[in-house]
Amino acid sequence: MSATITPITMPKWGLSMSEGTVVAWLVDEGAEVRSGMPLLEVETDKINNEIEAAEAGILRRKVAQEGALLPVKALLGVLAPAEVGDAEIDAYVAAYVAPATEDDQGGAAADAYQFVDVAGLRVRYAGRGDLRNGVPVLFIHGFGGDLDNWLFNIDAAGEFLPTLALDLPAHGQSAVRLPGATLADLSAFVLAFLDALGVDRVHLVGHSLGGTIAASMARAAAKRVASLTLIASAGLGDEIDADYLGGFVAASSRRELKPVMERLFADASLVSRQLLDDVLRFKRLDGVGAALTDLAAGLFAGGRQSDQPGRGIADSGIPVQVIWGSADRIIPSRHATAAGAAAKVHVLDGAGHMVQMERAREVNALLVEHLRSSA
Amino acid sequence: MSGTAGGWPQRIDSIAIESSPLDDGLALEDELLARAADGFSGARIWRSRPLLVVSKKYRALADFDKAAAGSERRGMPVRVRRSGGGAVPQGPGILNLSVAWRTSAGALAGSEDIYTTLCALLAQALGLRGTATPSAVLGSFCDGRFNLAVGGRKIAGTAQFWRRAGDGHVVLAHALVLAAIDPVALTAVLNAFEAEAGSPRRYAAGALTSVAVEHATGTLAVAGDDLERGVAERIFDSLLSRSANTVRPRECLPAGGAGKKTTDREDVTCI
Repeated sequence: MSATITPITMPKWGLSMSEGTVVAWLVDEGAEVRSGMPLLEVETDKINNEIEAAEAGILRRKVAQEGALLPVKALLGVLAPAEVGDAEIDAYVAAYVAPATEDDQGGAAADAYQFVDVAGLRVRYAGRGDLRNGVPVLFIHGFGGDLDNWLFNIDAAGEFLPTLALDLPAHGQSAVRLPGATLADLSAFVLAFLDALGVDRVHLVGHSLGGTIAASMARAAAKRVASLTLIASAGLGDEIDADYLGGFVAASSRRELKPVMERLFADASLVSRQLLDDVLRFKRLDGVGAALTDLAAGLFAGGRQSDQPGRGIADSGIPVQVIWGSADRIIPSRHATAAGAAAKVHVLDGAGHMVQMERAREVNALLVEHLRSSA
Repeated sequence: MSGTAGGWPQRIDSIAIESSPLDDGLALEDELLARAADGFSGARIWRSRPLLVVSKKYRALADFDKAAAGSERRGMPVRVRRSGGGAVPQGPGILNLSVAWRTSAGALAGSEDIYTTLCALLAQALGLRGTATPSAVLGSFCDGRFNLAVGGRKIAGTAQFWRRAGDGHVVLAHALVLAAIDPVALTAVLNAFEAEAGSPRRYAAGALTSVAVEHATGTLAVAGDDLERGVAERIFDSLLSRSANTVRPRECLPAGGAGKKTTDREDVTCI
């Protein structure tokens, strides 16, 4: 497979999408395209949307016909520079095998999630791709979050590496019990989760609390961590917004939760009713309130971060990338430089704490580049 | 935080009812999209002259042109819209709601929330809360997971169009409401078109209902005898009740000048 040929594939927009119809090609074969340019229009769930070029190149082949209904990850077309010969393009198309998706294994959305028992706790996770086929990328969400926080990011990494995302204990649909409320307890738990899946080594991507867990894992088991991407991460400095943590734990209605959740985003309109309802449903589960209170008290008492394993973590030799939103109101973006001189640091102007959602395209490009360079 | 972000817009800057039937609603939707790209959200409630409107994927059908000519001869010229789904009829007794806005969310983020909100606000508008539910209706035209259905029959359909705008997207959400129709005649026109286009899809008249049928006993309080007008105004009110606007108050009047509609909610600009 030539590295200069870029496949255009059926995207997966949201967890429930399993297939899409090719509505129309928007560029002609032979046309030069820029990164981000719309290439073709696809319909799913009665929604029409455009697929954009991930990279610049020449549209060398339209593989999918207009009107065709195709599964997620099916080859739709091929981008390549002019110097790649037609015969090579033909061979690429002929040899292309769509990477397996969960949907291929006999089910739709239900298969997107799996469960495993770790140290007596049931853990929900989403796995994509064959875990033996490359070093997997493990996504770890933040305080009060769940694996769906990575909805817009998993596919980007999944293009060339297997991916895993879990619900931390007392989060999402994992068991409502903490393995302990210290950072060491949590990072030992996530390492045990990897043991349970037979995964030795991973690329770690952590957001907020998940970032400090990732850094702690790297401290405890450096050989198991191929790279670190710390996004708006805890564990790199003192301050964290105590009002947010307290407000999130205390809120019991939409009215109380909305202003709290709006602190997570630069664009407050992203806090939809659906999002508030999802969070409230989770918070009403028996034991969640107590667990979140314990966790906040153990890690972030009084608005100070008790552990800071991320400070200087890049000096360990592990490739480290730090991504932040300049308008983060939960953890200040000035912590971004604390990982050490060797870390790559990207502060995205105007983005809030949920930068991986708000600016998914830019974050994904940085993530993919870091994974590639760390491979 | 659990879950993901996006969904129905928190505020809609402009809401209006088009008083006269449009030549087609496509120019109106393009204008809404263009303004949405500039950050101005708008909603329009409108009717169209008799048309058969299809999504772009229909153009790939082998005999699309022939079928379009046939439909025009049957009094239903064919137009191609932006949102997805199947063929839909337009004309007397059919109301449309088009809403466009800009979101900083990623592709299709919150699209299900948008569908469920559309269904909920229509159920409220049609006086069918607790009766009408979002669901697929086998055999209905332009079927999807988020029709509004009463007793397993379709009373409204929904669809969306998304396009990148800067770091985010512009979204067009569309709903088509069957206010007062002849299910048999409409279904026949649609089936004739699908057959001529060479598509295997066929529809059943029994899969459809309408506001007129569901409220045959007169339970829907609409202004005067004009059912379409009454339903349009109720959709208007239902939209307004869900829009958390923050701009300064203004008078609200439907487009076209055929009777002003005012509201004590003075924070919505109407055109």
